[in-house]
Amino acid sequence: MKKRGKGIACMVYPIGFTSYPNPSAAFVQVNQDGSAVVLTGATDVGQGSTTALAQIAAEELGIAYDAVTMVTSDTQRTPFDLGSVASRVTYITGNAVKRAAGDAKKTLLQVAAEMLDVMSPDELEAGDGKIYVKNSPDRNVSVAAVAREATLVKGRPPIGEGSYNPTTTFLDPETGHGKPYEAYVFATQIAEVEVDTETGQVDVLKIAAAHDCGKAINPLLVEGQIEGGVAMGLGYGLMEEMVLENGVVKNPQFTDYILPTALDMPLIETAIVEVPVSTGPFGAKGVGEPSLIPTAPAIVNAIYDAIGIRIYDLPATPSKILAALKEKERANILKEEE
Amino acid sequence: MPSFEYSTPTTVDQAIALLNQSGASALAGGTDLLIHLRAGIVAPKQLVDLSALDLNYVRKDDGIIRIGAMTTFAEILDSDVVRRDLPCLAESAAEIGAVQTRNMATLGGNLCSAVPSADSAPPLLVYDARVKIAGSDGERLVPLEQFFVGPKKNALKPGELLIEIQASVPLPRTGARFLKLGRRKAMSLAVVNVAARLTLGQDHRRVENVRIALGAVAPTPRRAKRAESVLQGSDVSESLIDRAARAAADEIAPISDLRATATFRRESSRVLVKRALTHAWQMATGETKPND
Repeated sequence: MKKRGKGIACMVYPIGFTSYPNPSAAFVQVNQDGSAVVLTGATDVGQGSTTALAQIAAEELGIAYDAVTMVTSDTQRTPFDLGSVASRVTYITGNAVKRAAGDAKKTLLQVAAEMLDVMSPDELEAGDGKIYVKNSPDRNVSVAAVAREATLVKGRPPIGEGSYNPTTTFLDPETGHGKPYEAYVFATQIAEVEVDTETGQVDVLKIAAAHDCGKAINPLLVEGQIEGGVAMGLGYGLMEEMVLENGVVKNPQFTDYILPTALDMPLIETAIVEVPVSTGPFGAKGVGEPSLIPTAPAIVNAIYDAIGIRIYDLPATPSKILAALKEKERANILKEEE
Repeated sequence: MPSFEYSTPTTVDQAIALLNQSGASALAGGTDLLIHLRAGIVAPKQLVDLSALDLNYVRKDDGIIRIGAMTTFAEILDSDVVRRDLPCLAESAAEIGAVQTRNMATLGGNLCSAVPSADSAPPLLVYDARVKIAGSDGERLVPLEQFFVGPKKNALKPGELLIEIQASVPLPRTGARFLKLGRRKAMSLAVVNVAARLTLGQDHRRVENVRIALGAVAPTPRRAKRAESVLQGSDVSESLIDRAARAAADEIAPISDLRATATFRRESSRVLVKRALTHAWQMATGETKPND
């Protein structure tokens, strides 16, 4: 018989650890054609951070994001970055890039103030490839023209530097108490499963995943991160297992270390929840690791809902589920006999 | 990877002459062999590539379906003859590897690998398939049942080549079903695979002929003959199918390994045999169409 069940799991995840130094840095130059180059050590391992960081620089400079050239993860050319770890890149490196772009923008606004004949750079804003007077956007000059004026007439190339390090607040060595992180994200996932009570097979029919990421700099990438995390979480919950015998890994190859395939993936419905944090770039926090955390618990909760069996030992393989079902059956028979 | 000679004979005779040389190994789709080569499990001196032998075909004549040993699983899935007459084989082909594997892996290669979990073996066992083997002394026809002699061991003698798989077109009122449990939905070695075929008499009840075969639960893919005898000649019923399924679970010899426990294999074998027989029954009485 096939039985269906639903399970929910919630999580909180910290972004931007402060218990020891956690810096990233960036350089920005605005070119005479209105394009920009960003140098950062942040490494895009497929999650799309290079795209998101380009968008942050573009937003700050008021230019199109495809006018931004990213130079990344080259220790000879790019400044320090602590790494693509701890779901920190959009938050920490994003702040560094935003600061570096803001630093370059300072020069642009100072030069533009003279060109637009206003008293102070504070009266100006950048957007759509232009620098314009607040409240009268018709008075404007292109970023390209300002960059040319700044570089070739004033001799002040619009360059900027920026770094970000959430204030380090070492934890109390006695109690472990303190403020270990600067921001927190929250998420809930719901799994719907179908369990074959005769074979123990679990079919995940659907996962709904709602994730707070502060501000989705690139919603499609956030969605991709969530879907990728769900795939990892599904493998963790149902398949992936490193088998050890006397300290030796018995399945050191992908024939027997089972990862989910595309065919194993259910429909994933993502919901992006934006609760901005004042310390993040445009309010952004992060979404990478959090995306996989609620999946396995949601699945095992759904299994419980379907067949009344708690699996505490992942992965929830058919062998374990069937053995638990048989055990439950025996216990029920004993109870009836009493 | 160690170096080796490579040849592409264009006739079966040439291939057999080459395979008779010491250290020669036949190369079909290569989905097993190349992995074993890279892993250093085998080190043939000569690879005899069978792709130019014209052994890719599915033909039907005089009630016999003939499948060339080099026919890929993708081609088997595409074959109208297989889908209509040997639907259970088509079902198993759909479960092998993934699209990329099925484009390369061949039916002959899968059978010659003789692994206990070979997905094409149980369906062909229930269709009473024969394999045509060519050697320097001529050709011989061997029942598939006798072809599997141990884990990864087949009945080919050195220098012999499996060239064709044959099966008779099933009689009317026949139903068959292949079912597989794996650890995931593709690229999965069977934890248990099962095929069952039922041919009913004109009364649509009496079991004229029944075959049940299982994989990954014994040293070779094998028939469950005691389970078959439960049904043979009797009127099919749910309770009889239950009894046959229990008999099948009793007569297999599963082991515990990384993929599943022996207990799980025995219990799920029973369930799969029951389901496969039930489906075959419905198909034989016309309640269900193939590949439903």
